[in-house]
Parts: sequence; structure tokens; C-alpha cells
Amino acid sequence: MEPYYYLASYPKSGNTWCRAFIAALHRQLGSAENNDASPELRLNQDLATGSIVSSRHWLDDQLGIDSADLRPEEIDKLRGRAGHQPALYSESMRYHKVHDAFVSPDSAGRPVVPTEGCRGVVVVIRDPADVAVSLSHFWGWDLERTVAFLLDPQACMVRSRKRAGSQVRQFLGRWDQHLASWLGQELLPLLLLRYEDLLAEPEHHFRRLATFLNLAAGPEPLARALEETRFEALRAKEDAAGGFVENSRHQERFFRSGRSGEGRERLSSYQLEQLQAAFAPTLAVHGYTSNRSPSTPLAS
Amino acid sequence: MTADFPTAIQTEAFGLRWHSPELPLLELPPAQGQGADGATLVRVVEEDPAGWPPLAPGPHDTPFVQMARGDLRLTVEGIGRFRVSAGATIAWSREHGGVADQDLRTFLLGSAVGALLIQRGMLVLHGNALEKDGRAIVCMGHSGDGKSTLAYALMQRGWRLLADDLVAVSTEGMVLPGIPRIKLWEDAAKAFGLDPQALPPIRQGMHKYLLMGEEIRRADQPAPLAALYRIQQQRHNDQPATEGDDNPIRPILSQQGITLMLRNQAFRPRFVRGLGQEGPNFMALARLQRTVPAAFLTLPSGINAMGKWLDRQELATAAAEALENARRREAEATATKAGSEATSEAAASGATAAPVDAASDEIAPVGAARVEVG
Repeated sequence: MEPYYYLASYPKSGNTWCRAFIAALHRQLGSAENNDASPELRLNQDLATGSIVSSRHWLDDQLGIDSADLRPEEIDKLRGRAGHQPALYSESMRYHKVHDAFVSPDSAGRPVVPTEGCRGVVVVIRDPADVAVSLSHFWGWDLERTVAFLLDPQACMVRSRKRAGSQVRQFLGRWDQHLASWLGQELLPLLLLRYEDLLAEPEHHFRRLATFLNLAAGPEPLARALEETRFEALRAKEDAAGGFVENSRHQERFFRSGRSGEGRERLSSYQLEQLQAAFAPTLAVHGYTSNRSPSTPLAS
Repeated sequence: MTADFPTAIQTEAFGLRWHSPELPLLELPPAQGQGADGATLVRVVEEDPAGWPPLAPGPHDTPFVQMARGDLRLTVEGIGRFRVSAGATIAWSREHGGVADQDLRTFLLGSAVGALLIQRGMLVLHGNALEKDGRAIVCMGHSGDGKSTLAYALMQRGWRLLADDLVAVSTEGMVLPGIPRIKLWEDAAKAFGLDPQALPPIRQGMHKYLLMGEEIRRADQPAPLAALYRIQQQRHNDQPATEGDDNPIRPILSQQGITLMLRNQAFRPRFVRGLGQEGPNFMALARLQRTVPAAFLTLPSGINAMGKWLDRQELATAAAEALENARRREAEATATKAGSEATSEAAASGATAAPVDAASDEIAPVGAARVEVG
């Protein structure tokens, strides 16, 4: 079984940014080996770092049946035991994005994702107020509805039971419960990254990411990969490519703002209070207290 | 009615006769005649898995599927277990008394029957097949791409359903009549004005429904395969290559492109490998891609828009025409290039006429290409 990693995050917390960096770094490292003259990252071709864990294509191959003939609660009991045999997928990089919580109410206490053969999980977190703003643009929801989603203990993506889809239902739960499910698991080695730290000190924190993934990179490829996946650079690539395949139909650009602190500007004081009241202990632990600048972690 | 009993439990599909005394295969049409026509008989029997001989672990096994040449075991947790052997028998067992016949049938007709056809050396595609005026088209695509919706819309326009889910193609390029039913999700059923409450669900408590029997216009004779379509949903960021070039049918020019598309749309390639049928399968696919035109078909979004578009199409010939047009434009572009100084304008017009390369769409893993959020 080929080794693989998970990139686990609540939606709109920096998962794609990390995948872009990993892909860029791989191209830099590969070009040194293969004497490839143009290792430049292509936004719409090179980010396929591995299937999203909720892909039906993958699951159906493992189960030997059409998962669309199963109910979501039946699927969650099985997903964790689906294997990762590489035969079906040709790509060499295996960093699987996952937005599911580690366990779901239907997974009978077992992980929703397979853990056998997994080398570790990178968990990316971001100030939930900023997540709310980003998600509201991505889904075309107003902020009130988006904040309610972050607060919903039953929150799921691909929830409808009345239509088909290429992904299975993904249970998220409340924002802080989602995070706790990943931080509390003891089956996989873990690296926790904060979006705000990636912004404030990219060299240091992306190097931590590369080290965790066992990507031995010297300063030069690392610096080039960083330069290529700065927000402005990714945005320029998106414009040059005429769009990004992972964008939604609700917003003009996927790489929309990339800033931290938008939540505090855009959410109402009531909405900020709602998040603060619900997530207080988690926010404090991870340096998202209301009195502090979100870019200054409490402990690091 | 006792005299009718033998026919009631013998049905036919894929050129085979199915005998399933304990589990009536309601989705399949009753066999014509009394079995004197020499059609091969497949037995579908209830068995205790404790009596099944153990299988040595195989390289393509998963926690749910075990395979050896001529023998496949499938476990559907909470439902039951299936053993498919020698292309002749499907044995099944119910996990517990609460499992309904319909639950068993759904997985038996999907995976077990597919495995049996593979064991018999048939080429099995994952999609559906429709027939009109003696010609068949096959539509393939991933879950959610709109295959069933398209099939229903085509039936409303005079096409007859040959097969759903599993499409078996003979070595002569004929599409065999398969399972004449369509599974429609609730949203799609409602969009067609059907009452979901009046339809049987595919399984207890699911919002996905069976259209079969009287609901289906069924083709009961094999028909030659005239076109292969890879169905795609219209994406928000789909843009026509040039102004006015909004033809949703884009031919796949290269053999490699067709190979890739068929490989991505094959029915359970893991079964094919695990059952040791890669050789015959490869030959059958090669034959198919040499002889049948293939195209991507991007369905207009919304059932009304799709219907209006279908009213103006002749899908039996559209793939071949699109292919011919693309080749002609390519030849003209080459001639222009060769004849003149190959101006950049000429090259550019050639480029816009070129159909998409299948590889650009298919080579990426599904998950990465179609994600919900980043």
C-alpha cells in the first residue's frame, strides 16, 4: 500500500492553499530530478494531489456496489474500512483532502475515513469568523445562514437525499466539534496549522508542513514553491487561466481575498458574539480571542 | 394460475434466462416460451455462505470483495452476501430476516449480475442504452451526471430502453437487452411531473425510485451500437471555445482519448481484473473503440432546457457527424497551413475547431476534478 496523508479542515480554512503549496513543491523537487525546464504550477492541472475522501468513484470501487444505493448512515459505517489500493489512481502524490469530521453520528464511533496505511494528518484551522465570510461567498449564502451552519451540531455537506452526486454526504457538526474530532483522534500523527500563521510567517509554517510530509526540500525549492503559491500569485494564475475548476458558481473568483480579519469587519456584533459564546474554549486555546489580534497565537 | 408458475420465475436479460425461485426478479421481463430455444440458464439461489469454499486472498480484493477466476464473493453489510460462480450461478444470503427482497435485488442486479456477465467474457459498460429505429446509443457517466434523467427524457421522445446500469455489448457490436428499469432520484422524478409517492423506492426509506414494467418503453431485441456518449453536467464555468461554438456534443478524436474514456466508465474494472478477464475485456474494448464513434455530451441544465435541446437532436447519428465535421475542419486547417504560409490566424481557427482531448477531462481523479469546497 502506498503511503498517503490527509489534509483535513473545515471548508474554507486553507486546505486548497496547502494543496497548491504541496503540488508546487513537488514540481520544484521533481524538476531538479528530471531536468524539467518549466516546473511552474498549473492551477487547473496540478492540484490533483489525490481524491477527496468523500468521492463516490473511490468508494464504489472499494465496496463493489453503487454507493448511491446506500443511505448516508449506511455509508458512514463502511467508509472507514475502504482501502487505499493505488491501482485505480495513477497519480503519484497522495494527499487526500477531507472535510468530514473524523467520526460521524452514524459511524458507530469508528473513523469515517480509512486510517490503515495513513502516515498522518495535517489539520488546518482558521478563525471561524473569517471562515463564515469565505463560506458565505462560496455558497452564495448570507452571513446569518452561514454563521448558523458553523453553529449547527448536525451540519453536513451534500445533505440532500433526493438527488445524485459525485460525493457522499459529509458530516461536519459544529465548527469546534469538527476540530475536536480531528485533534482528539489518536490513530494518526498530526500537524496542526493555523491559516493566520501561514499568512504571517509563511516560510516557517510551510516548512513545518513540508517536514511533516517528509518532503526534504532545500531552501531554494521551498522559497520558489512559496513564491508561486502566495495569494497574489494564485489569484494571478486564476485570472490567467480564465478561472479555477474548484470555484463555485456563486463567486467570480476562488482566490477572493485571502486576508485574515474579514470576519471581524463583516459579521455583526451579534454574530461575532454567537461564535464567541459557542466556541470560547476552543478559540482561546488556538489564539482566537476577541481582544487579541487573530494573527497572534496565544501559545506557539 | 399454477400452470404459469414456471414462467413467472423464469425471466430473461442479456440473452440469458434467469431462474430465481426464492427471489422473484421483478425488474426483469418474463421469459418468452418455455426454455426450448436453447438460451443459457442462470440459477439464482439462496445459500448458506457457511457452505461456500474459502477463497485464497487475491491481489485485487477489498474488505468487501474477494475474487478468484470464476468466483466472486461480495458482502453488502446489513443486507447480505453474494457468490457469483462460473458465469452460471448467483448464490445469495440475507443478513437477517428484516432485509427486504427489494434490498437484495438492488445489489444482486447491480453488482452480482455484472460480475456474472464479466465471468461470461462479455464487455460490460456502466451506463444505459437506448434504441430507436433499430440503432442503439450508450450513455455513460458518473453518479449525478444525469444518465437516468437523459434516459427518461429520451423515452418521452420515442426511444426505447435497452438496458440500465449494466450495458452488455456482444462481440458483434450488438447491445443486448438488459435490465429494463430506470432509477430516478426524487428531484428528477418531480421535475418530470411524476409522483414519487406512487413509485416503488429502490430500497426501503430511500428517495430514489424504480420505474419499471408499464412505466418503461422497452426494446426487447439486440441493436447495433451506433454511438457512445460520455454524459457530463454543464458546469458554471463552462465556456464555449469560441462565440457561437456551443455544440454540447464534442467528438473524441484520438483512440487514446476513447480508451481513456472507456476505461474510466467501465463497469467495475476491479471485478474484471480480479476475475482474470482483462484479456477478453481488452480485446472487446479495442474492437469497440475502432468501430463506434464516441463523444462527450454536456447536457443543458434543467429538464426543460434539456428536453428542448433533445427535440432538435438525432443522437443516433450526432456523434458520427460531429466526428466527421471535426476531421474535415482539421484537414482543412492542415491544407490551409500547407498551402499558404501557415498564418497564425489559420492555425488559430484550426485550434478552435479541435475537439477537447478526453485526457484533460478524465485523467484527473474524480475527487479532485469535482470538489464541493476548497
